[in-house]
This record gives sequence, C-alpha cells and structure tokens, in this order.
Amino acid sequence: MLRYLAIASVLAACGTPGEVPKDAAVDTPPVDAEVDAPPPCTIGDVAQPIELEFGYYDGTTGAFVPVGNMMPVPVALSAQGGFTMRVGVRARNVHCTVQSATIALFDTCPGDKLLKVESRSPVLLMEGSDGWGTPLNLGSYMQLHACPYPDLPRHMEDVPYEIQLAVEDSGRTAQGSLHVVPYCADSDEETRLLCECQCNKDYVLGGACPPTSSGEPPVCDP
Amino acid sequence: MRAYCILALGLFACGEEPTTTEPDAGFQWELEDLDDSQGFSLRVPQFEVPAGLESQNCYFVRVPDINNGGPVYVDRVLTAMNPGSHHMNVFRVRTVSGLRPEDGEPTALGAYPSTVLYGGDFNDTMGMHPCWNSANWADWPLVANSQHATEDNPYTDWQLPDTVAIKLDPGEMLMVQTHYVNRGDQPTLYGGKVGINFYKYVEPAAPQELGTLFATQQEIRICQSTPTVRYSGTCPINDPVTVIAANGHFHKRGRQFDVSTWDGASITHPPASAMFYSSDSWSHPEMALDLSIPTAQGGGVWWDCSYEWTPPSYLTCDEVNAKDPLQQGDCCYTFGGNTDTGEHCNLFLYYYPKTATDQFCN
Repeated sequence: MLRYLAIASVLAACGTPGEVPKDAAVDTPPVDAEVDAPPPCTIGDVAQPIELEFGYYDGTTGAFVPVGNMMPVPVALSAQGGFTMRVGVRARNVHCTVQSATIALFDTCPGDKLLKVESRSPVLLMEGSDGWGTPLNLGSYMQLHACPYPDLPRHMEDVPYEIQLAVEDSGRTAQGSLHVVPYCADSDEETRLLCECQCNKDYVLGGACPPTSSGEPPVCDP
Repeated sequence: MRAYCILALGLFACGEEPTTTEPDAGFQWELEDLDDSQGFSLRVPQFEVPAGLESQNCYFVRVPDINNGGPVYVDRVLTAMNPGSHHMNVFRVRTVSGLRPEDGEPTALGAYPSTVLYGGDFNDTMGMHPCWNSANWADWPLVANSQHATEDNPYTDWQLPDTVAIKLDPGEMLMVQTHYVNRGDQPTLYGGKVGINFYKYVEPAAPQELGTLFATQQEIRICQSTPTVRYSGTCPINDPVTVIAANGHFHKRGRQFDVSTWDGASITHPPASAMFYSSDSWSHPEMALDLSIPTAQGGGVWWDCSYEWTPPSYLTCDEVNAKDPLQQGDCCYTFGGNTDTGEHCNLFLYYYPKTATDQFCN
C-alpha cells in the first residue's frame, strides 16, 4: 500500500486553527462556548504532516476500500445513467471535518491530459480503530465521472489512469497521486455490457452499442 | 389576477395549501400554431396538479417530416408554460431501459401523436416510476429546456445566434418531460400546460449545429448535521466552442449555482473572472440565453452547487429519511426529483459548433 505523505504547508499552529470547523463526530451541546467548548475533533496529530490514502466506496458494504498503485477501481452505474468511480480519501493528522477534498483523473498515456476534477466541501471523516479517518458516508466521497467521456484516445476500462488527490484542512494542504485501473464491475450482465460500451473510446452519446471501432487504441505503459 | 395571487401567497404563509382553479380560469398564454414552412408546434394537453402535490409526466413524440425527408434545423425555441412549472426538458430518445415510449397512454401533442407516462407525485412511488427515475439520461442527448413560467411572463424565447441551429431528424423520437409543483413557492393555480414552438431555420447558408451538455451530480447529500455543503465538478467539451446558453437547476436547499469556464489543465477552482452563470433561485432560475463564452481547447466548464440545509416545508424528515439509501437518519436530502424531499445539481448547457457528440457528465 502506497502512502502519500503530505507535501504540506502547515500554516496553523498545532491544534489551534483559526476557525474551528463544526465537529463531524461529536454532537455539540448547547453550553457556554467560552467555558465549555469541546476541543476540535481530530484524527491523529494535526501538528504533523497530513497523510493521505486513496480508495473507493464499496457499494455492498459501505466501507472505504484502500487502493494502491495500479490496483483496480470499480466503475458503477449512477441512478440516472452514466458510470462513475465513487472515490475518496482517508487521512491522518487532520480534523474530522476536512475543509475540502479534490480528486482529479488524468490520462498520462501518452501525454498528461486532465480529464475530470471533482471537489467536495466539507469532507467528513470518521476515525477507525487503525487511527485513520475514512469518509463518514457517501456524501464525503467524490463521484468521479468516467463514462461516457467524449473523444477518449483510449478505453476507460482495464487500462491505467492517473489519480491526483488533494485536501485542505484548516489552512494546511496535502497532495498525492497514483495510477489506478478502472473496470466495469457490475454483476448484472446487461449493465456491465452497457458500461463496456460507454467506456469504449469510440462510443458516441446516444450511438449504437457496441460502437464502430476506429482502430486499436495506442498501447502505452504509463 | 394579481390581487388573487397575492392573496393566495398570503394564505400559503399561514399554512394553507394552494388550490387548483378551473382549467384556464383567469390565465392564458398564446403561441401561434406553426405550419410546416415555419416549423412545428407541440402542445402538452392541460392537466390538473392536485394541491400540495407534484406532477411529472413524460411525453414521447416523433419529429415530423417537414423538410421532404431531410433534417429539420431549428434556430428558435419558444416555450410557454402555465405558472407552477418546475421544469420542462426535451431530450432525444436513445437507449431505452425502463422509461419506454410504448408503455405510455396514447395522446397528442398538438397535431402529433404521442404517448405519455404519468409519473404522478414522487411520493406515490418513492420516485420509482420510470418518469421520475429516468435511468436512460446518460445517452439521451439534451435538446432544450425551460424553467421559467410566471403570470407576468410565461414565455421563454430562445433565439439561437445567426447560422446556429438544432439539427433534428424526421422520425426521431423526442421526450418532453414536464414537472409541476403545486405548493408553497411554486403554486399551480391554473393547471399544468406547456407549449413549444420549434421554428425552422430558413437562412440559405448551411447552419452550424448546436451541441448540448447535460450534467448532473447524483451523489449529493445535504444533511442536518452538516448544513452547508458544496459539490463541484468539471465537464469536458474538449474542442473549443462558444457557449450560448446555460441554466442551473437545484431544489429548495440550493443557495448558489455557478458555472465557469475551465481551462482543462487546472485542478483548482477557476478564478472569479471565469464565471459566466450564477443563480441563487431554485424556483425560477434564470436561463442565460445570450451568452457568447469561448472555451479553451481541451477545456470545458466547472460547476458548483452550494446548499444550506433547511427542514422540509410540507413533508417531514421521516419522509426525507425514508428515501435516503444509506438510512443515515440525519434528514439528508439526496438525489431525487421531489422538491421537498430530494435535491438536484443539474446543468443545462448549449454551445456551438457541436463536437463529435453531445455531452453527458456526472
């Protein structure tokens, strides 16, 4: 498992961010804030650099599945169509309410083409027994659109694409990157075939499935 | 009429439900009926929207052959709707799954035979009626939309730029989706009624084809414990185009809907100077019709939906919780068509020239 240590710019002093975000994991009681304000909910030591990992939402269990370099990520059908990767970050040394998280999808084969950016604000993390904070629920994941995608040089399936991730937490930032392999994962054959069609580089919105091939995509080793 | 409306709104504030008057009582819009040389006219028959409820219908109609078998180019779309309309969208029907034209009841949209699926109120089926749960939209290209209908002005008159036109093929199936609300901010006092005129492009020069982009964030959650949230994303267009119209769409918790040009290279939010559409209205979001916004090669748009949680106006958090797929019990508004229990973050965008394909983006 790759771990992405933060390239962090620590702007806030230890444990004293300028503005305490609403606590994600603790109900705030109606008490005198000056006297009894609870400490901000944190995961790890916010004086240390932020640590990030990438993963996806398991639609069956609701769990965060950590993903390492060149590992597969399922592409799932959305309620009103289109296929997305439901992806997110887990982190340490952050507040439970992270100001924002951004995930970007790149095609680096060849070149370095940015395909998609998704951002959420805020992102709520829940600390697990391993000391990492994982997304509290689906609302803290990102719906990273994968298919259909216009003018793709390669299929959006079974080949690697680059993911870049970034978080901002009380003035501190951290980034990381890795390659993942999107794949059509639905157990329903009809849905999986639709996914394979719409993730084909030659698919045209509203066009036939399977699409007419324009030739083999370029072979590339990112 | 105005005095009646003001009185009615005062009653809503006191907790009364709006009512539906007799069809056409006190309100009429007028559209000319086009002949084949002018274009074609669709007329959704008037229907009642029960007080306190919402109504979503899906009408299927084929593009008439008004050009001797050739494509029908349209450079002006004029819509008229009775007040209370939440949206009216026109899509091209492509892959059919669930929402099937042949399952509809026969009707007519003006002179043209049609079928209709009445979705009823969202809560009748918990949104599972195919007209509410439209699973096909990823490959049903957008044609046109309107969310504007007031008593003062029930019309949306969209004149495309010179030499730009929507290309429709004769016999091509279209789906006209109407959504009416009859309560609170969107009373339907005169019944639901929609008319659309598609005016034929008559210039001698070959037109540039209009392209469309329909974007929708489908994993949104606006929860009581985290009342202020923002969902942002990019949509690629890739080839350089000129954006000519845009319309945002969200529900009652929506506070700000912004669209900016995106350079296709940055993963940070575009500068404020790149924003070309902004709306803070959920019930009557302005459609920007006269834009001329160039996009960059390899770029597209970046759009933001910002929300502030508020309790449901007419229904309850129990009903909001019931439709939460995660059953979080936090009165979380999730993706859904009912304006009181669900939320949307949808973008309608129009540009030219059309690239290789229309665009759909989650």
